[in-house]
Amino acid sequence: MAGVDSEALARALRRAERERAARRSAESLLEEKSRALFVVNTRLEKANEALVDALASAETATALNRRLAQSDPLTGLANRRRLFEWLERARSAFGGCGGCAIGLLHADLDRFKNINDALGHLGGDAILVAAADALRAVADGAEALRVSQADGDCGLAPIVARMGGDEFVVAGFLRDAGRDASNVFAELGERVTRALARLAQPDGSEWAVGASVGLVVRRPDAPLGDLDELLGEADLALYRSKARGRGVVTAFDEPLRMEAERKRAIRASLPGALRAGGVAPYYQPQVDARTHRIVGAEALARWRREDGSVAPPAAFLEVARELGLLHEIDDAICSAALRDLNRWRAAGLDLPKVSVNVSAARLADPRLLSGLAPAEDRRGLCFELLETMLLDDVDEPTRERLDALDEAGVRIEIDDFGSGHASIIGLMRIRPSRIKLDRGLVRPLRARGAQREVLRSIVEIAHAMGVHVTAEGVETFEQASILREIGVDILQGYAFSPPVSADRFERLLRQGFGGDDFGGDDLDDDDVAVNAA
Amino acid sequence: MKGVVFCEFVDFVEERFGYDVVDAMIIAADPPSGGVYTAVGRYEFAELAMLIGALSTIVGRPGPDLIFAFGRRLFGRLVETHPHFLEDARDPIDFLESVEGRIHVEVKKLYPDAELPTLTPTRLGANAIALDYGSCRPLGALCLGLIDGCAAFFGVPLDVEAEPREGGLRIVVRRGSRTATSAASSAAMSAASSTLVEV
Repeated sequence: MAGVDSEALARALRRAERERAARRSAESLLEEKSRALFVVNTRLEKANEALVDALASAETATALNRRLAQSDPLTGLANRRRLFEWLERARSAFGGCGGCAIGLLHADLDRFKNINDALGHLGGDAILVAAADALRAVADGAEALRVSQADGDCGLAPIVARMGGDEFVVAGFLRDAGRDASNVFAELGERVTRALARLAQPDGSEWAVGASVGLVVRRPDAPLGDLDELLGEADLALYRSKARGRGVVTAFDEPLRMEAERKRAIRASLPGALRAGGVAPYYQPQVDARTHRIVGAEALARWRREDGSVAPPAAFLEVARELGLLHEIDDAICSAALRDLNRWRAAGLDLPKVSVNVSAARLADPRLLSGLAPAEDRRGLCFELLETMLLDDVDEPTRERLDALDEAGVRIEIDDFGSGHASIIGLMRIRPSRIKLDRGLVRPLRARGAQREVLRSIVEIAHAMGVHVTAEGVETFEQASILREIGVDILQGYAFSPPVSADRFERLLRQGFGGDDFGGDDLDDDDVAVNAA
Repeated sequence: MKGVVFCEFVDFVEERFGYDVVDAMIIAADPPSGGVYTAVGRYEFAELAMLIGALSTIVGRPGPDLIFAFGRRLFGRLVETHPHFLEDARDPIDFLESVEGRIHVEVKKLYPDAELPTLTPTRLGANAIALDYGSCRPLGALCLGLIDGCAAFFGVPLDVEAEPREGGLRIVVRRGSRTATSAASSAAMSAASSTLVEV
């Protein structure tokens, strides 16, 4: 019995010992695993912190990208995109707000280019930043545009945007404007011009900059319309401010609206008219000063419109320039003029020369020479170039092109001579076949006086250089006589004939001018109407 | 080999034969660990083989029979400790099909260092399945015991055929007509025995 008990006891002790050992082993293993987990956990915490930082950086970068996408990077002002979004919100508020108005001011710094050239880009940037700060202050201080909590959801804080370069827009939404909206925004425009008159630099100096402002105001009784159209109207008003002498505010009004619509109509119809031959030359005769025989003609672009009216270049050249059509117009006039010239010659009507006006862009075009008609067809062709295009420092490519034209038998005539800064050296360098005295020199001409003697000297110098002289703008018999007396070779002006259609000019070629006869009596109504335009 | 297997084996021996036999088995086997096992530990498979050999001598039963019985009990213990493994199982055939692709995958997540056998299934129809058993350890009888435990758990009689293949066994399991507690065929046990190295 004692042996059985001792054996059982020994077994129990061994079991207890094994279990105790197993427990200690488990504790040791768990302790080791716990330490390993601590290390892993620490690494995870660090990785988590890095991930949180990366997410925060990504969020910051996203917010920065969003801000950059909507802000001008230099000034921090809203950019064009954000301005359009503001206008869209304004459009939504507009519809449900009976007495409100939207005003948009387009401001352009007046002397920025000169200042930028003087200060360099860094200085120019500082000016733009100063302008932005000034405009922000104006917008913030515009009491009438302030949005109050009591306004409910019909209200919008003003916005200041930079449109690029030195152009800025301030736009505001006015509640309960009544009839005063135009005055409120005009006053805002005045504050803008005053704020931008002088701008401070970081070094404390001030620059007289100035700004011109175009203003457009919309009320709900007139639809807000296309946003580009709104900005376009403000642009037109801005350009009018520039033309008025800068530093002023011009509101887009009915005359400007009509001008805008006129230009819109021209943009829509001019390209097609050009393709269909609707832009054609009208000819103003050039007569020998002594015999009054027609010895040439100047071909002037006219647009015969579908309603039968005929528009002079002043009516459509600005739009043509915007549309990039000047080359085509030059080519059309030149081609038509040569066709008419050769047709008249074939009919036995001798016209020694025809002049066409050539723009600066056309002169600079390398394709000018390759586009010329064959030599036999271009005999008598003369290019009239404005004096302002040919100053003392004619560059080498222009010089070479002029030489090439001369070799090709195309004569060069300097138009509006006396209106620019041409010099004797310039004349010697260019060697034109003819100069055409500007009408400003002819108009005040009297039988006696310094003007006459100055012109006589110019004519003598030109002749000494082998250059013939034409006088344009001859409107009276007295002027014609004086010009003949001082030696001018050719006369052109209303005293003889206004610019007339090809058919009318052909009749003049057949009839001719003789002695002191002038051809004005036989003008038909069309020609008179055109030239009165 | 995971310590949990050794702990379960000791519990199996105590439950079936009493702690006297456990004590005698450990003394007779004299394993390097001294018979001290903890579930979170790892021990050489050779120790288990030594214990099985010593037990076989003490109780006078063949080693494969003891391993089979251990496997049968082990299935029940796995169900107790990891009930979620059987959540989606509708019957033992479906469950056996999921062992390799789901059960073993989950076990590896819990115990990345576990050395598990492969049990590649090939369904032979709605009521039959072939399992290619492969292991670096000669424990085919344990696998057959687990299958028997599975049948008992689901209460579905299974007929089990096994034949040796290179590196393991080809086991075919079919729904049987016998009672719930079916045993593997003697041929199957014989095949499983061939995988067990004499200790």
